[in-house]
Amino acid sequence: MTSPAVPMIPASPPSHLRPIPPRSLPRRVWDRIGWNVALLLEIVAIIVIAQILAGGLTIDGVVIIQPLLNPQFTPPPTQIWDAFSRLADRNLLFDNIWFSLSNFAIGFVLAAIVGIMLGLMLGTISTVRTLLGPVVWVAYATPRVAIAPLIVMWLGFGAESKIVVIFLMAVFPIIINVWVGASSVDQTLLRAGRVFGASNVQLYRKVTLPYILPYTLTGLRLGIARGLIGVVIAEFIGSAAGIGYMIRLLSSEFDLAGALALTLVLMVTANVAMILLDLIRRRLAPWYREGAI
Amino acid sequence: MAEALLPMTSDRILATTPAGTGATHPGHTGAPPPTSPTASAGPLPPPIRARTDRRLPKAQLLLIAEFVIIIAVWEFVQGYLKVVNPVFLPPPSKVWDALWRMIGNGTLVEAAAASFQNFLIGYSLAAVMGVLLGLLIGSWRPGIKLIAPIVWALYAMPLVAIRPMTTIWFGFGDAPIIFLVFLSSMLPIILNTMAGVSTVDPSLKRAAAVFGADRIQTYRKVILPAMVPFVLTGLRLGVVVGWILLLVSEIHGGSRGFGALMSVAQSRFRVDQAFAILLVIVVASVLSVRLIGLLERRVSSWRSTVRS
Repeated sequence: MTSPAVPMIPASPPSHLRPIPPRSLPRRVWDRIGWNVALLLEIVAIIVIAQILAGGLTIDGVVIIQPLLNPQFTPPPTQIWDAFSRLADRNLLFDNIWFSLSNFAIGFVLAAIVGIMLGLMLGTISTVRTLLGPVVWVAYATPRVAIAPLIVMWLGFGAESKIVVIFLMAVFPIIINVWVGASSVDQTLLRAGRVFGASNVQLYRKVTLPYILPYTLTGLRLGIARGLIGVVIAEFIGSAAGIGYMIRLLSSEFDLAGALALTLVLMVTANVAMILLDLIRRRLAPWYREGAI
Repeated sequence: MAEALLPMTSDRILATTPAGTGATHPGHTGAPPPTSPTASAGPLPPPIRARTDRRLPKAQLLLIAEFVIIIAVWEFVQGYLKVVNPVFLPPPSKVWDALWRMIGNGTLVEAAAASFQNFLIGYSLAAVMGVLLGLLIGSWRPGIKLIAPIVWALYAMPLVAIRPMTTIWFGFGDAPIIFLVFLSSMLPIILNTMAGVSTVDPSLKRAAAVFGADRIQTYRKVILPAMVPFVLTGLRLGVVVGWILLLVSEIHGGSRGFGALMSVAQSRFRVDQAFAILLVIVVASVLSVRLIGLLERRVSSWRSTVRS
């Protein structure tokens, strides 16, 4: 059917119009788990390479590869692993982790409650917005870590100062995100609700709150990240216990394996918290996807 | 200061909106801010019409009055009644004196120079490396599947924790500070650039192909412009995180800069000096965030016109 006047038309239809052929079983299995397996292998490979670089390779007492890096400065993964049991034997592991994580939990829950309430008020009540808005905004734009030394000075070396620092670090991202969510609720949705005879309470429950939910979750995720920074910095400045305190102490003793082991604990904690929040999001706001790759 | 910051006009909210929202966690990887749950990944939310817009002058007056009242009450309670020991909470007049003294004898200027220098070195390295790495990782499928998760995991953790170790690795000078600023601000830039490359609207790419664009042209005319807002979100997040890491690094073991001054003020119980430093930090960080916000609106202004 191709006429010589339009020679550009290809013989077969373009790829997106062709029917998709059914995929073979191995292909489908790969689609489902392939990349995760590859990621796992990658992490194992990184650990093995780090081990060889920092610790060398010895088989049956025969040195095959000399360590390239000084293990004093970059301890190999096996030493980091041993550091866990070493620290646990000295009763330095679980108490400190508990101290940090319980402070974090208290500070973060307080920040979540206050942040969501203040954010809702800022978004919906114009008097509150006029009076508190600028203060909140300035506090949000400021790196609040700078005030941590003062708070440690005011409240001492105990848990109180840590909780306040964590609270201050975590609360503002939550406020700001809830606020933005609350003030950008789609007015057409509200009007539509009203047309169908919804009361104010119903509008709040069925339109406003679901609309704000994704914003709130974004705020909470940031709150977790900032709160964990708060945990570490407050313990660096002045503390007698905690993960950050231990990292500082072990580093000053040149025990980098121990310090890195505790850093690993922080990394796992942070990522577990993020994954938990993501699970909550999938349950509460399954319609919401923050972009997809 | 109060006047300049009056934020609640629509564009100001626009500027702050995605401040924290750019980076998300694996699983629902990072298109910047939640514009609206239905909108596809656009980093800038639709302009928000604040109700106070029309009554702006009145709101401004109220705001100034508010700040004046707060300062007056604080001065009265701490300078005159001395409810709390003024060593712990000095009145504003003392803070003001301390500020001028520290400007006069040059300590603040020196600290500012050191801090800005370290920040700029670390941050500009991070911007260049972050955009490049983001482009590479984002346009290469194994990169998205295998490297991005590791970047996410690093971004989620408090990188501050390695501060004491960086002293062992890099010594006592500025090097560990620059390293931490670099590392921490590079991560959000990588992640957002990556999200920008990999979420370019496929219909745009198809349209370019239909009009006969080759690979390079598609890159230059379609992918790069579509990425700009993402990159800017990443750059702004980088500023925020970079400032945090800069101050923490200086507070803990830095020899110069705002953080080091703060640490000295704390150990000498000079709360007036601490507040004066804080004031400077507030002004500096608000200005830098606003600067990026301005840049963002300038560079991606076409976006809103296209959309509306």
